Amino acid sequence: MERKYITVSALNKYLKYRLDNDQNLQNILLKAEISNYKRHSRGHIYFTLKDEESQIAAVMFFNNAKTLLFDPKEGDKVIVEGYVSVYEVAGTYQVYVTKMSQDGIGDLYQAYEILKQQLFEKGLFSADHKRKIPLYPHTVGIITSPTGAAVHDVINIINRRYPLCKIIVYPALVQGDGAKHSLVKMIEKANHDCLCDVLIVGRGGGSIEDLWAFNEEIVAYAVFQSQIPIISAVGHETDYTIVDFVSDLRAPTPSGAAELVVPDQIVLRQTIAKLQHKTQFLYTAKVLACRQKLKAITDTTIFHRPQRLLERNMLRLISTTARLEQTDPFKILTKNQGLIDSFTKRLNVNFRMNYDNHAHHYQTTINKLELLNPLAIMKKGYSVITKKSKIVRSITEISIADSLSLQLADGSADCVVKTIRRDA
Amino acid sequence: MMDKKLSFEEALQKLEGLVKELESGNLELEASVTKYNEGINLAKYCHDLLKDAENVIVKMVKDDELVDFPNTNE
Repeated sequence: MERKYITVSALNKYLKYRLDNDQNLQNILLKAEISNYKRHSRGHIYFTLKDEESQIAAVMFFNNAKTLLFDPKEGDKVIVEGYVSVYEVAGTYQVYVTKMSQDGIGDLYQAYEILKQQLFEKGLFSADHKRKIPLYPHTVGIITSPTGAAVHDVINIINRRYPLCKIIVYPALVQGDGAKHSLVKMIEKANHDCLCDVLIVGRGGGSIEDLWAFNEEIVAYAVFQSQIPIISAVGHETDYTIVDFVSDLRAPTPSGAAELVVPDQIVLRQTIAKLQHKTQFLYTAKVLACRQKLKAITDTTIFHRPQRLLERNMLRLISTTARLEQTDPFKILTKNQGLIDSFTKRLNVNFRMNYDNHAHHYQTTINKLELLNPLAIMKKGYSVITKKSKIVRSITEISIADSLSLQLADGSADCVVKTIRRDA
Repeated sequence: MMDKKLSFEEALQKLEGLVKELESGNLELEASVTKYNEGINLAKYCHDLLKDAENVIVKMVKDDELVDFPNTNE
C-alpha cells in the first residue's frame, strides 16, 4: 500500500494547529534566564530563555515590549507570560512573550507587605505620631546622595521659592548594601546636630531594588524616632516606600518635597502686599470715621450758638430754685404748726358739744324715770294689793276670805276680804 | 524702632495680627495710628527680607564639619 506524502508547509501548518489548540501551551508562565538578547530596529525583541539544562527561543513584539518596566539584559532572571507557537517559515517553535518581569521582585514585594503590616500594627504610621511641618523653616536638612540630580533639584527649587532659609546636606548612600545604615546614621546625626527644623529624606527614581533602603525596618524606625519633622521624597509619584508611610509628610518626588517644605515667595509677596493694602485701607477708614464723628459734633447748634446752652440752663435753674424753696424746712414746720392748731381747736369744740348733748339727754331721762317711780304714785294715795306676793290687778283674782297684803307709800297692812262687788 | 532680629515668620504673623486688630474696629484713633505705622513698617520689612535675600546658603556635613556644598546653582 502506497503511503501518502505531505508537504513541509502542511507539516508545519499541522504542528502549528496542534500547538495553538493545546490549552496548556496557550497560557504559560515561565521562569528563566535571558541570553542572546537582541532588540530589532522595529522594537521587537528576540532572545533565548534558558535554565541549567535547556533553552527555547522567544520573541516579544513591540506592542508588548513597550510596556516593559525594566531594560532586559543578558543574564537577567525573569518571569515571562505568553504562549508557544510555530514559526512556519523557519519551522521553529518559540515562546511568544506578552509580559515579562524581573524574578525576585515578588520576594521583595512580599517582604515589603509583611513589614508594612507589622509597622502599621505597631502604630508607626499613626497620624498621632506625625509632627507638624514648619511653615517658614529656617534651615532645611536634606538627607540624600550629594551627587545625584535630586539634591540639586531640591536646592534649586528651594532657592527659587524661599531664599530666606538655609540648607544643610547630610550626604548618605541611597542604594546598595550600606544605604540603610548610612541613612539611619544621617537621620540620627541631623537630630543630634539639631540645626534643622525640617528634614527631607529621599532620592531620585530607580528600580524597586534601588529604592529598597527606604523599605528597611531600621530606616523606618529612625524616621519614626526623629524629633525633627521629616518629609519623605523617594523615587517617583507612583513609588510608595515604607518610609513614606512613617514620615510626617510624603512628597511624591524630591522636587515635590522642595515645594512642600518652603512657601513660595511670589505668594508671600502677594500676601504681604494684600496685608499692606488692608492696613492702609483700615487706617484711612478709621481716620475718616473719626473725622465724620467730629464734624457731626461741631455741626450741632450748641457749637454755633453757645448762649442757647445758657438760656436753657437758666430756665432749669429757675424751676429748680422754685422746687427747692418748697422744700424749706421752716416753711414746712410753720405750715404743719398751723394745721396742728386748727385741729386742736376743732377737737375742743367737738368735745364740748358732745358733752352738753349727753348731759341734757341724761337730765331728760332722769325726769322721765321720776314720773314712773311707783313710790311717787303711791304718795299721791294709790296702793298696791298683793295676794301671795303677786300683784292683784282684777276683782276676779279675789275670793271671800282671801288674805291680801296692802302696800302703801310708808308701810303695809294685811287684810281679809269680807265682801266682793263687781262692777257691771 | 523695628526689632531687626525679627524673623520673616514672626514679622508676617505680627502683621497679620495687626490687621486683625485694625479690622476689629475697637481701636482708639491714637492706637490706630500706631498700628498703622507699625503695619506699614512690618510690610516693608518683610518685602525687604525677600528682596535682599541672596541665594540660599547650602552647607554639607563632612567629617562632622559644615563645608560649602559644591555647584549649588547648576
